[in-house]
Amino acid sequence: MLLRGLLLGLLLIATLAEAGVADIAARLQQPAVLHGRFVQQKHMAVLAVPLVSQGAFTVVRDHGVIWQTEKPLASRLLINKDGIRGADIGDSRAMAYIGNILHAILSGDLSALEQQFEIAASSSENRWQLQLVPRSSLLKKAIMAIELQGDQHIRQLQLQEAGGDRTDIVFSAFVPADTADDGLLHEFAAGP
Amino acid sequence: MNLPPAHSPARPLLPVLLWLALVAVALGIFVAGSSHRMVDTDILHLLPQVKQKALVQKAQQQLDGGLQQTIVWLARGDSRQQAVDKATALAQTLQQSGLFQAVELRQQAADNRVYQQLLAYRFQLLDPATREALADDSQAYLAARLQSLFSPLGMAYAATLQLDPAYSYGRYINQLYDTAGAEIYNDVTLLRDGEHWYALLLGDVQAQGFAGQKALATLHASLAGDDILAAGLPLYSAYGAQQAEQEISLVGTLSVIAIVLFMLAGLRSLRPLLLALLSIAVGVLAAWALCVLVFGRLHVITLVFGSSLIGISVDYSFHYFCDRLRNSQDNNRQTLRAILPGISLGLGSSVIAYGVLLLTPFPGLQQIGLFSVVGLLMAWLTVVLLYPSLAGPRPRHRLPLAPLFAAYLARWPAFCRRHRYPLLALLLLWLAGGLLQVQVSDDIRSLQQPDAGLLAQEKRIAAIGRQRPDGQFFIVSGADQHALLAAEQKLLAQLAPLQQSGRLARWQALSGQFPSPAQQQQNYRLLQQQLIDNGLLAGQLATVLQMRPDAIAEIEQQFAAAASQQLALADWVAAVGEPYRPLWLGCEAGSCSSIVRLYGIADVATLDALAALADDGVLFVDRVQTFNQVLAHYRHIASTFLLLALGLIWLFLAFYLGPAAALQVVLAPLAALLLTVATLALAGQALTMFHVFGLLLALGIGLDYAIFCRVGGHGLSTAMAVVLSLLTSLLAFGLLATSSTAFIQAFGLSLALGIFLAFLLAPLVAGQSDNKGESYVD
Repeated sequence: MLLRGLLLGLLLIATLAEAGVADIAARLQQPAVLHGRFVQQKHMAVLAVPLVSQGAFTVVRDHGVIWQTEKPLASRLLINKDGIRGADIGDSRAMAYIGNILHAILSGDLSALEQQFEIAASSSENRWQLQLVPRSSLLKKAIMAIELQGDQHIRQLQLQEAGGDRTDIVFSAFVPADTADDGLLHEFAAGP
Repeated sequence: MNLPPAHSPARPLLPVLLWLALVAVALGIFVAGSSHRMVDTDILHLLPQVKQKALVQKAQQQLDGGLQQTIVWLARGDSRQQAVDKATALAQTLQQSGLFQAVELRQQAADNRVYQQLLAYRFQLLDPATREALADDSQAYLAARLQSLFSPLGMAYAATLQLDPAYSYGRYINQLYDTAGAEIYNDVTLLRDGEHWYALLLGDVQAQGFAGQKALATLHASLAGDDILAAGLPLYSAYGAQQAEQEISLVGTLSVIAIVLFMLAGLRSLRPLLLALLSIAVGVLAAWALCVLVFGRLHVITLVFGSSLIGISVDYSFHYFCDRLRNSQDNNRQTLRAILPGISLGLGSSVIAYGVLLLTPFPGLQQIGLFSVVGLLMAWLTVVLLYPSLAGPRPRHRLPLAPLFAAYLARWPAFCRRHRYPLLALLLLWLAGGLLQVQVSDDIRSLQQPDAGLLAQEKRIAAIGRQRPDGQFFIVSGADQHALLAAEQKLLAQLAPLQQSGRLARWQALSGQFPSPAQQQQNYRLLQQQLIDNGLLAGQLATVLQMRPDAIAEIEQQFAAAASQQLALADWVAAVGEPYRPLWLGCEAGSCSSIVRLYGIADVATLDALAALADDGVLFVDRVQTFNQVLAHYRHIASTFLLLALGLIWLFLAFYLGPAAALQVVLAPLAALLLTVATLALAGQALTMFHVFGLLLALGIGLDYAIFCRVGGHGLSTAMAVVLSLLTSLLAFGLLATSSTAFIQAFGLSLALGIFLAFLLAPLVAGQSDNKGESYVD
């Protein structure tokens, strides 16, 4: 009797853990278009203070992400399945698929993330947490782990690098929309 | 009436035991060696190592190095992940097949090693784009780099900020291995083609025998399709082996069936048939075993020859059993004595003819020579040692079809003699017409017929981005590194217009990526001027990143310390590895050399233009042209050896028959060969080296016919043996002439024609005593 109860309990916990990721995926809002703002803090060993940048982002489901940095240096990056536009080719080549990961995270596409990361999920009443550990050895050399937190949107991203540096991004001011305006779609379609 | 031979019981056993011993040895060698060797289907391996400069040979070895055993596979998917999944499944299938010794799907993240190894020289290494940007506007360059630090993408730069403050080294390493369109996803290399992704997989094939190659061809055929592509030298080899094997089995089987049928029809007893098959089997076994022992690997043309040898080695058996039919008085030993002169002279001439091939510098011809000599010798030994003891009781019946053979031996020569002038005229016309029109072809491309399907796949793979380099390349030399790099740069400048006009797709050279020592110094000075001396770097690091002052000082210190670094070419090559390492030929005897590889040469005119660039210190290597020259050269040599063989055989026969008679005997096959050449010419076939191979074999067989007609002396039985031999040989070689492999077809055709004509001419040189035809009535 006790044994059966124990086994049932274990089974429940196991299914809960698995259900964790799917459950969270369900809780995440995935609108057609999502606008928002971000504040990024990059902690580097060589620097006395963290690098802080802020700006706005737009996620268009099935198309890509626009990452517009405003402070301290303005830049506009376009990340889609083809790669990254707006960054110098010599820099972005090595990071071609980091953009993919970002796109997957921001559009809440956890199934895509599961292909590249092992995901451990935990959740409470209104917040959930995901820990992503890279599967590929190449990626492991750069990223140690990524931690995501949120409720119906991803609120926080913490990227722990293998070299010791850390990037914290806090997302806010979410504005979902049903359609993307033509200018935006045009930008995505323009190609790298 | 049969009197039992008055031998003591022990003596008949001695020859048999001797024979058994020989067979056992042959069997032993065969079993020990043959199962692990790959059957060679590469026509190029028939050719000798051309006496080229050692440098060229070294270059070819380095370039070929990995390619011999590698097959490139591409698995297609509609998304990156799908392509990777397909490739993973494919990798498993390949592993399970047992044909591959290594299957590489996931790259080991080895690129980091290069980064570490060249790190000390990071301020000497700049890629062209970075160099230009720094020279133009270093402020803009630096601003762009710092910008990336603030985005999620600047991870690599941020991680190495202290070592590589302007990310100039990181950018150099990035573009070092850049293949346009290739991407690494989950450790797998992906190539993009429009809407599809292709995952790259490399398989190293194990060395294997015929069976393994067939299995490989079958495996490939079952896998290849729209979404799995494959290309590589082992595949061509495998398909070639499959095709050749089908044809060889067909020919071998039909030959044996023909022999069985004819023997049964003629001799009406099973025992001669079995003994004949035994002599064939033993001959082929010994020949194969010895060839593998001496040469290490067997080429398919030797096997083709071997299956044809079946038709020749059975001749001695034919003569033995046909003679027994003729004369039922003799016992088995006496029969042997009766035919011994004939078959011994025949063997002797054949051994000379094929032995001469062992003297040629051609591995292909040498193999054929050894195979034939050993095979025929073994067959002869079987007849001599074994048959008297095992041939069994005398046959009851008479020679079948006697009129037919009488016709061959008496009527046909008589007819020819009656009409000698018109026939002679016809012959001369034929010869003249043909020989005047003789065309030779030494183009290896006309003899190589790679499988069309494989070629198509290779083209598609090249279009997607993975090309096989062309067979042409440059070897550049200089007194030392500096001179070498300067010479390379000069050549590359000359290649630029060809590239611009699209006649050359691209090149690959060391100096394309490696900065010369002078260039390295310039790079350092550029960084110094544009970033350090003007305080730009220090200023930006302080204001934009708020880097600690001691960290900035550390950076400047490290930069200053690296001022005199010089990266040597050899060290660079050792660090970067593929694909640059095979291009480096090293330095020796006061000269350093490297290879400049060429891709996508458009046409023959471009080839000529490239060849014209050759100079002092610049060598243009065209492997196709080289082979063609070799083919031509050795076609001449093979023909010379043919005549030499004829001369030696004439000498040999002159000992036994007298010079005049020997000349007549040699004339028959010679005339047959000339007529064959004439016929081929009239039929519009261009003569290749493989036609000459066929003529060599026809010489041996034709000689046998002439010798037997001359010396066999036993009339109808000899004729019967000759006719049987012709029919079986013609069947076998005629079938080879229908082969779809070009060089086998050439071989079979000239052979079939040669022996048929020799057959017609042989009775004409028979001895004077045959004129009356009396000795034919038994």
